[in-house]
Amino acid sequence: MSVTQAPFTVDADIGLGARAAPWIRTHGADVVVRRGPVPAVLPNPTWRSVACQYAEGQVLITVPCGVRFLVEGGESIRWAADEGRGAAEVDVRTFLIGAAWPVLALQRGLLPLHAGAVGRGTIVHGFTAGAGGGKSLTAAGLAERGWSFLADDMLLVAPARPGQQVLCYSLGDLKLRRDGLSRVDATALGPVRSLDSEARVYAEPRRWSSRIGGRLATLHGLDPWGNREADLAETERLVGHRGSELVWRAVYSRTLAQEIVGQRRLYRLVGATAAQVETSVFHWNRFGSLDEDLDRLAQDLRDAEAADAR
Amino acid sequence: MTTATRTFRPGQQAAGKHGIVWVASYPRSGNTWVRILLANLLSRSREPVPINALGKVLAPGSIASHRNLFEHFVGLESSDLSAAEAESLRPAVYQMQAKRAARFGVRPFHKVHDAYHDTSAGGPLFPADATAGAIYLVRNPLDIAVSWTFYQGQRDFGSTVRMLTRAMVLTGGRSQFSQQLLDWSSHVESWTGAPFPVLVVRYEDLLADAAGQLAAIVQFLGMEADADEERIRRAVSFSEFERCREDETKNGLANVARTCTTFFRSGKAGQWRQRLTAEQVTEVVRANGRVMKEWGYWD
Repeated sequence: MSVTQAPFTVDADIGLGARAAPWIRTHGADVVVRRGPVPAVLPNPTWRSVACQYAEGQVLITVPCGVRFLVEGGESIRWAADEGRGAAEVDVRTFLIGAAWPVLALQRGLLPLHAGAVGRGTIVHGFTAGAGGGKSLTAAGLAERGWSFLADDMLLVAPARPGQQVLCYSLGDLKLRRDGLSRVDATALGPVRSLDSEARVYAEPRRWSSRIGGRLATLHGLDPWGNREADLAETERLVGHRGSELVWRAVYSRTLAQEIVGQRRLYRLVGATAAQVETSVFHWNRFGSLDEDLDRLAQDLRDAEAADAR
Repeated sequence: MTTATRTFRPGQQAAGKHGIVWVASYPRSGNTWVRILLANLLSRSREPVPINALGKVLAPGSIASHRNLFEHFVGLESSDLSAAEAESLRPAVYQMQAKRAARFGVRPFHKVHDAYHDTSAGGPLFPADATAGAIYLVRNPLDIAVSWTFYQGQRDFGSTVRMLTRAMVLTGGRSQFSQQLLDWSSHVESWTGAPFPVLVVRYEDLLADAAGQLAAIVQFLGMEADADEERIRRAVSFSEFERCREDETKNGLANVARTCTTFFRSGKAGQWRQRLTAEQVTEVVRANGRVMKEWGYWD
């Protein structure tokens, strides 16, 4: 199984960063990313959120800094930046990867999960949480403990048929708050979108994988409430529908995903993923130290890997 | 002031049937307690609503500054946005939420600690066209100083005293956007001057007569048909401080600061008399005396 080959290739007229190298192909790529005319609205959208509209296979994404993306048919992303709004290339790149990419992946039959991930060998461990739930810090912390950083925000899953392996892929940089950066072994690369006042930085963990994916072996939901039963961190294995529920909740922009692929197909993608991946909830110890909790999670991952090898 | 529950805008006192109800307050002013009262009032259950399940009754249950709510309605990753960009989108989030809720015939309730203010892009953060009304909880800032200090796991009341007297931004943890608190007086005046129906409830009056204050809230929300005296009495009983504390001791309370060991700590008024120094009291009163007098907290 190759873990360096991307599920699709891209020919882009904008730099996507060093981590995107395996995705890039200048000729004959599956997806073309080009600057070009993008409408301000879609005619008769059947679904809309504050920043996105959907109509007949097209998704329009409008970002406050004046950048718009039109994602079509899983083959094309067109982008435009309003004159005078001051959007820089880093803005276009951030939202291209963070917003347009998962939409494109959905159009291509992949399942984007709001999840971070680390890898070792051919195995990937994913962890999912809502905004501010600790995905970035967990990814960076596990990268200190022997795994390679893969993702802190989005994981693209290629669901498998029954009995087959679930492959997953990542792209994008680690985003950490400065206080988080000080707690892990990572180097600051620069402020997120040049806004130093936001106290968020792109960072590079000490262990940084050139690989972009692998076999998704485990998916942990990070429980932000912490353990209410006792003052210790622990992993709770999920069985039956609770595993599917974890994957379902992790689907990136779920209501838009239902529009794009249809509810029944989305259920099938989620179910197929949950059936092949060991799902758990990791309860933090609210009153404990982050290091101790990460040590505990790391031990659980090692146990899962040992069991997987058997 | 003995009967301090007041509705503003005579002739426009009741909240609308559609739109969001903001349960707004400066932190540690009884916001959670009022939402527990409302949840127990609206619940059809014969059992108290668990303190961690308020959202099942008072949908969506989250604080208005929560990033998950924002991402659900915006469709962008909030960590990719600057604070100003995110703030500029928040009014549209509430407008969309209010529209969808109206379509399904439900009225969303949101906890709010932000002061009522305009975004940096212009226009109010909490748009009137997304709003049914607001229940604003006001509490003696001297007691807030005590309560907030314990909530933060500190023993230094001085830092909280300074917070109450200066324009502050609440960072709200990683799962929330920063919230502009302003100073205590400005926070009170921002909400009591908001351009939609606002019911002001004093925390101290809730302590003295929870049933009476809940009845005023019922009237304000136009829920008389769903809330007779018996249901109000039961809701108050289910929301008693000791029961909430027992629930917290047994199950913990979600979404509180890591530093907070006990959310339902005392539930009393006037503790500042034992805890604050004369200098700290003077500092709070010097900055907030006029509004404190208006609400009966200082002679």
